[in-house]
Amino acid sequence: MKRYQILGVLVIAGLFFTNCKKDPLIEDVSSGSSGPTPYNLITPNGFPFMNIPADNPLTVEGVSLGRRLFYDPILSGDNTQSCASCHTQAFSFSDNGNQFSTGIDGFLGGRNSPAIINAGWSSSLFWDGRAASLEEQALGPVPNPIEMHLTWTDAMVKLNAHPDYPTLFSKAFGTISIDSILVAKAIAQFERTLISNDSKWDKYLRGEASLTASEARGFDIFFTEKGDCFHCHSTILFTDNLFHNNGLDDIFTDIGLGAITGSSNDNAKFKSPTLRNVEFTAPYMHDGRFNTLEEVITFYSEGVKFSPTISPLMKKVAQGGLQLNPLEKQDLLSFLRMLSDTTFVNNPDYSDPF
Amino acid sequence: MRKYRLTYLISILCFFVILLACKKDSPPNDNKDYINMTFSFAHEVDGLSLDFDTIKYTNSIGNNYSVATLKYFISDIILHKSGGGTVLIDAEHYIDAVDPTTLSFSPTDMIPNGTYTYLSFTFGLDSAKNVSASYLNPPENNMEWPLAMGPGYHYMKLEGKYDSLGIIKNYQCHTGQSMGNPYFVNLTLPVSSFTANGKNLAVELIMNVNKWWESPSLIDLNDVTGIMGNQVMQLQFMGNGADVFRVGSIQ
Ligand code: HEC
Ligand code: HEC
Repeated sequence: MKRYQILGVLVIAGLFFTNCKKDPLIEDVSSGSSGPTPYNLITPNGFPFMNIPADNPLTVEGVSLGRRLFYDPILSGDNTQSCASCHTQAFSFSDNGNQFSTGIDGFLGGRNSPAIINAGWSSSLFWDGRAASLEEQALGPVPNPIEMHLTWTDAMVKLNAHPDYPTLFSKAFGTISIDSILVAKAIAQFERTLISNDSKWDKYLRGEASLTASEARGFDIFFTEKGDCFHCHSTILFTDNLFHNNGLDDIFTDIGLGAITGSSNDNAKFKSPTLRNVEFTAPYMHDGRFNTLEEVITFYSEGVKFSPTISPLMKKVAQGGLQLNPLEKQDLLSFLRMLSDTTFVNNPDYSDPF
Repeated sequence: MRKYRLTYLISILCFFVILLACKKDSPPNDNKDYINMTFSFAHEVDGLSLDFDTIKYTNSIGNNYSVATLKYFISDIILHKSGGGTVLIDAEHYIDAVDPTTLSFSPTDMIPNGTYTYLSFTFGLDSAKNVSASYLNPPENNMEWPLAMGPGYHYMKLEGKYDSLGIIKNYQCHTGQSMGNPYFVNLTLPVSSFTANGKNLAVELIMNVNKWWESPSLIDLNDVTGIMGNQVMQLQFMGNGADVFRVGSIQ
């Protein structure tokens, strides 16, 4: 959507506020002083509008509660695991370099834990997009037997008996009757604050950094049809939030989106992951099959396999991929490393509050 | 798209709040001298309905192919009055053939009553409208055309597979402002003249995908990969685009 349309709305809204001095709505808002404090989420210049559900506006108390819940092992069956166990800040909220994640009972999942970064802009969650919102996603891991393995009923008993949580929920949501929905809402609020826009790439866009020769060449490969990465890892978020088969396999063990939609045309399609902070999120792909970015680049260069659902965007499939020479591979790697945001992985607002 | 609708909703809401709360003068909106027009978009391949992901179409040069993606912009619809004079609808619209919510376009501009003999529009975005970073939100922002080859947005992404001597290959018909040169298409569509007289009108525009591959330039899908920087191909698609649409029903 065009920026001027947003502007239009603001102007109209402005008119409304200046022309209607005695509006009862405004008085209501200011008089409700006992409610939570609205959280002023500043989204970076050039980023899309963030769709925040109308029934879960960000509040200072809600975000802070969500952060605590994200890091609190109270939400697991044996009090050993929190969301942060598999989504660690130093790894851009992916799982500590593990290919698969281990739940509290020692079971391994079959998918690689994705980074949680700029997730407020994701139109769907999980590799196969099966959750439509962060709220819906956050309901999953707690009762999942191969993850935190705690029924929501038991989780409520623990949270209600806790010395702090009833007050914290009451401050954030105005109620002491804690339920799974409120837990999910609080966590989702925290996740929406996990914004990255301080990579060297962002600094370059802001005119605060310049590219090395190798980065500049890598930039060219990424953003031209030489590499053609931009068609899927697109926009300022470095993902189109759409699903593609990028040619990893010719025989599938995990059919991804196909299992959700039931359409064989969707087999082996997975959500394009953002490439922001990709340097910190090894191993790579939905099954963590590649240990390094070098391996990923070699895959796109020589390892692409044809299958009936391969994305029509994939080029030179018959030759196995882009056929990049060693210098081009190195340059592409330099570019991907430009997307690393150390401010994000060190941001004290995102860290363990305990 | 979702945000798009939300914005309108909010605008409309705010508007009503102003009307109700502040008792401002309402603008004239019961004017019988103007009508609203709706444009709907349909797609076919030489009379066959457009189905996705199945290789079942054949173009003039003999490629057997499928369509996986068809996304594009149209803009600046112009209605031409009988006896001269035009009405410009200064707006752009994004279409994704698989997304029903994009298949109809109701411009906010009102159209004056009169008899119109033909309509024309821009396929893609002209240079004034094709400005990088003007679309920040999905789905339009995913049409971005990198600065290094652009700037602006893809006019069209038409992608799919074709059978190349028994090997299935991908094609990507990506048109846009290539290396600084615009290749948007001006289409003029003859219609049997229609009259607007106080009653809203719905106009159907039908794209025949096969027309992209012929007249005047015969296209072989083997050449339709990595063409974003290819001026020769862009020029050919600009030429072929002139007759890809026809007007269907007007009611
Ligand atoms: C045992 C490890 C584990 C735990 C604990 C865990 N997750 Fe995850 N998380 C994963 C894995 C693995 C995936 C990917 C699963 C898939 O896509 O099918 C995932 C996916 C996600 C995603 C989707 C990211 C995206 O871009 O699609 C979000 C958000 C997320 N988890 C948040 C949470 C929250 C919040 C919690 C705590 C309530 C949590 N996770 C607990 C392993 C874990
Ligand atoms: C057709 C769309 C498409 C194109 C083009 C594409 N990618 Fe991907 N990329 C994907 C998808 C989808 C995945 C996840 C695939 C999976 O896990 O099954 C992915 C995964 C990745 C990953 C792993 C990220 C992670 O967190 O696991 C990296 C790195 C990557 N791509 C880099 C690139 C580069 C570099 C290019 C250009 C040479 C490129 N991609 C081109 C769609 C694409």
